[in-house]
Amino acid sequence: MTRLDIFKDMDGFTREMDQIFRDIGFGRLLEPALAPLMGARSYPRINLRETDESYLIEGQLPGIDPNALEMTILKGTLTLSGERKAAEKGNGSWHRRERNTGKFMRAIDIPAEIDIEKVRADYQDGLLRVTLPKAQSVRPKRIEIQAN
Amino acid sequence: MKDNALNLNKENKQTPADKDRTAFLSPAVDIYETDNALTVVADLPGVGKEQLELGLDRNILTIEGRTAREPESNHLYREFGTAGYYRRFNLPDNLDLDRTTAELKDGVLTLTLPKAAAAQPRRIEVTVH
Repeated sequence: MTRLDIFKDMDGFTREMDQIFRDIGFGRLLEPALAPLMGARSYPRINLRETDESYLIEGQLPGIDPNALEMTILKGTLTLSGERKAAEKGNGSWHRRERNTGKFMRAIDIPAEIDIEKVRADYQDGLLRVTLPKAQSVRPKRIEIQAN
Repeated sequence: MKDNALNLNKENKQTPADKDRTAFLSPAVDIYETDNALTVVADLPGVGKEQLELGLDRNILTIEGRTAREPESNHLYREFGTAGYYRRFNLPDNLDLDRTTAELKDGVLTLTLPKAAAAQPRRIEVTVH
């Protein structure tokens, strides 16, 4: 018996598969007071949006060399990893140190089949934008009804 | 604690006029001091040069960044919003604010606030007779 999977999209909040964040720079994570609401331990923070044609992922990655950013897609999971280097302060002293540094990795589950060949990513003003076009088979298709 | 003459721990309280900014996020900052300058580094992802406003009013430094509005549709998963960034600092007196330099690169703002000549450590040569 075949079953239509109509409710596939309802598990939206369980998409995040894995999150590893290591703060090797200072040995601590963001102070709780500074970490707003959810996703405080996930780095980078991401938004995932859907249009008819594609999925769009935006990630906050300020101050990262885009060439040092590693992005792979395997079996519907996009993995993003890289490192944010600590600032060179010479022989000065710290007054505040809130910006996280260190290696990070994040895996994001893509909800449906995508056209891997057409994935685009660009980096501007510290934001990474990844466009993942949906595969033809999962795009909405208008079906003409013949009137007899 | 080291002999930091600079007092940065006091951040300004919000005034009533700032009410509409309560939705703004406070950006994470690094502040460090060397012999010659005070450097403020702030993470402002999504803020371009045109959306950034820096204010230096007497000794109050204001960092305000707006992020580009985008169509808010069909979020399946959301960890950050499109609210802007806002943060103010009380600066110490011993800075030469006219020589302040600011650089914005890849969503990171680096502000260099040189110290006034009088506040810099001076090496005094001792002449031996």
